[in-house]
Amino acid sequence: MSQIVGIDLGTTNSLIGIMDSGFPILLADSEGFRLTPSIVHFPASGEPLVGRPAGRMKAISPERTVFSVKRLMGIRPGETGKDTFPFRVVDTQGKTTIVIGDRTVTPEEVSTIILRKLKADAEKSLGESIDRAVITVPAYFNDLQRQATKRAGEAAGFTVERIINEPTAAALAYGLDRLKDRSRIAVYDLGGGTFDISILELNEGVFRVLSTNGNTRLGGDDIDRDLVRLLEERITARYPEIRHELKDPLFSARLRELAHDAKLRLSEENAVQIEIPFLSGNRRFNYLFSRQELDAITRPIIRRTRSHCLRSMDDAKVVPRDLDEVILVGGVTRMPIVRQLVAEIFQRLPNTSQNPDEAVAIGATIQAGIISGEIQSVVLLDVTPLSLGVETFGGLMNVIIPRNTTIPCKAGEMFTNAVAYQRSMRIKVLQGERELAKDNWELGSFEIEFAPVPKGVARVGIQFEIDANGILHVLARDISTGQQQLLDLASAVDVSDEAVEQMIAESVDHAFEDMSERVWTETAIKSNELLPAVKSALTLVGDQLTQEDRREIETLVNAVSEALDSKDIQRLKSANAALDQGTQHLATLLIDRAMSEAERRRAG
Amino acid sequence: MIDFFAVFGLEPRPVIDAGVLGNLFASKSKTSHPDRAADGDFATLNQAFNTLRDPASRILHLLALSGEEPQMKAASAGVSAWFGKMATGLQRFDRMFQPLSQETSSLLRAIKIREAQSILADLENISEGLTSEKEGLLQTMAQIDARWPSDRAEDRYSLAQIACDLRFVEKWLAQINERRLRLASIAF
Ligand SMILES: Nc1ncnc2c1ncn2[C@@H]1O[C@H](COP(=O)(O)OP(=O)(O)OP(=O)(O)O)[C@@H](O)[C@H]1O
Ligand SMILES: [Mg+2]
Repeated sequence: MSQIVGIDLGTTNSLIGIMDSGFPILLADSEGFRLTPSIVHFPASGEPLVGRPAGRMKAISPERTVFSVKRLMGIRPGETGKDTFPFRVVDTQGKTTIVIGDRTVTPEEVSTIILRKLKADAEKSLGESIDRAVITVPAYFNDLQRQATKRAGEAAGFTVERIINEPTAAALAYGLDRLKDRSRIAVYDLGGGTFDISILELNEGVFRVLSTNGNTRLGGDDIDRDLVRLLEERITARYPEIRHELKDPLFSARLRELAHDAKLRLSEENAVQIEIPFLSGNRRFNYLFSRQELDAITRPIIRRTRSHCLRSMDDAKVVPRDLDEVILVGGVTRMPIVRQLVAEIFQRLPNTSQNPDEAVAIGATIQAGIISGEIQSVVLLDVTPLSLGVETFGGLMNVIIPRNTTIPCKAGEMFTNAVAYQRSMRIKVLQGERELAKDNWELGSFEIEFAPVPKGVARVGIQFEIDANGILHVLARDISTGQQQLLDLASAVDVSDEAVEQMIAESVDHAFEDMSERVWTETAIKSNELLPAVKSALTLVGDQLTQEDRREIETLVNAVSEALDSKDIQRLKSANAALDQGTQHLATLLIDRAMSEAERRRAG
Repeated sequence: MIDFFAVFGLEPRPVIDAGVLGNLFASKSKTSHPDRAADGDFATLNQAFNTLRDPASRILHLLALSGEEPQMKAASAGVSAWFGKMATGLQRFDRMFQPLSQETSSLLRAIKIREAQSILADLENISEGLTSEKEGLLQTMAQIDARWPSDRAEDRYSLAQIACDLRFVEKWLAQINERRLRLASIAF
């Protein structure tokens, strides 16, 4: 049998590795680099370019150069969120597809093209063919996203031996030899597109994931997007007349590159000079961009990781001091502000000894070694990140396998007829943590057949199994024969067209509401809430303000009162905004006070 | 029906040391995980571990093994007494939190966070009460365990009641905890 490779299929960069005399090594691609950019360029004719050669086309031919496709894997139309891409992303028959000229490709197919390059380059450098792989996914990927990744691997010519979670792989790479028995670690993985946090425990050579949490649409891409927006604002502030030029795809692509470079340099330097030589006319744009400004953009994005970390610790039943190490993975963790915020969350300095780009691929390779039997000293127990359940009457989610259950696992559920002589029932399978079924991911549905009997007499046992890849299998057990039969989950897309139409219809209805009246009322409500709030805040912590600050706030308060009388929406809006802005310091004082009060209460 | 105690070579009884169980699970995983043995039944080992490490499911399994299928009963009077207080606290918190999570003005946020925090303080008191309730239940369980194996009908009856009470207490503790996490996630 051929060897098994380990692959990190990243949003930004992909890597491939193999075990070599008991050690994991990473292989360089045909351009000589271990990191292969996850970029595919589709020329008007001929074969696609992949990796670095495709990256060079990003700013030359943005509409034909596809990147960050992992953010679209297993994603249904309408779920792309705030993401914008220079290439065209459309919905065709309920599927997210990318349009390049007159052809279309799916995110899965793009992943396949990337995997094919990794495979071909590895085969060339090893001089033998490879057809088995371990491929990594973000721990928080759901069943659909995992299946899409597995199919992409198979289409590239691999037998996918395992889908493994990225932070778990990174923990393997950190090394069991470096950890004493019974130690617990957290892995904080912030990459180009996704964020994962996992907590693991080592016990007698068994590496067990205790909990995992994350967001599959949070990463360096979000920083880039906000940074581009900031630069666009600065440019239009200086040259309002060229506003339209910013919409040009070529311009955006170059701006994105500039922004990205500046971001990377600011991890080392305190300020960088941004020069844009490609504005029309004789316009020049030079801008000294400081790390502080970048931090201000980055902070809110990184703060969003906090709640995931808290939840993950809570699920693992650990507090920060129970952890022996916090390991950083993913390119974004090179940013000083990220390290600082992680230190705050976990109340300790994070461990940066790992190469944040390579840890995941090395871990995938180690897992390949475990599967091939080359590594005998460790067993890895992973978990399923999301609760699995079915929709009950009343549209609620009934959990069958809770999140953070060790996999592979199984759970049985008995279904009975709700009405006499009912012949069948359709069961929707869901993944997620929300109470209402409609707020969770719908994985698909299956049909149960009943014998024609009185209400509550028919009984059909269904077995839900999650395999070591985190992928679900549903089996129906025939009570009389004891035989099990694998059920196909009908794709949710076929079912929900109606719902989508309904949503569109509703949004059209709303458009006819009387906008201006509503906006005025909402704005006035806001003012009437703000004014007394300022007053009570001033009585509580006003003594900590300077005379000047106080006077400033009073002026802003008066402006809001006057605007209320004026009935001028724009005026009221900006007065509210100014008061919001002007009372931020006051808010901080209040929060500080609330925090210390809570502390005191807890200390009792 | 599979005897999950036997999966680990343990005697069926109400109390099992968590450390011992964890080590057994680790060592048995090494031989039955699919990475090690293609024919190992890890999913069953896993199910056994999850059943035995949770006191309520362990008791229910123990009773089921001896042919009893305890019906899910109501919580005991002592435990039920907490419900009203808890539900009101949760409702007050949720009414506060919903607008808070959408608040864009920092000042209004700060004020609402203060209010939410004081509601949470009440909830934390309830949480402490529930925790000591739970400790009491586990103690009673340990007393029954000390005279195990027991054929006394009242012991089996109390175990069933303990399992039921634990389920309620744990569910409520989780609900309060969820509020604590929600507030901690936005207030900093
Ligand atoms: N020195 C640096 N400073 C700031 N950001 C960096 C630095 N180096 C890399 N990054 C950012 O890290 C991200 C890429 O990280 P990485 O290669 O770990 O992601 P990935 O594995 O491809 O993505 P994911 O794990 O989300 O699928 C990009 O957003 C990149 O801009
Ligand atoms: Mg990564």
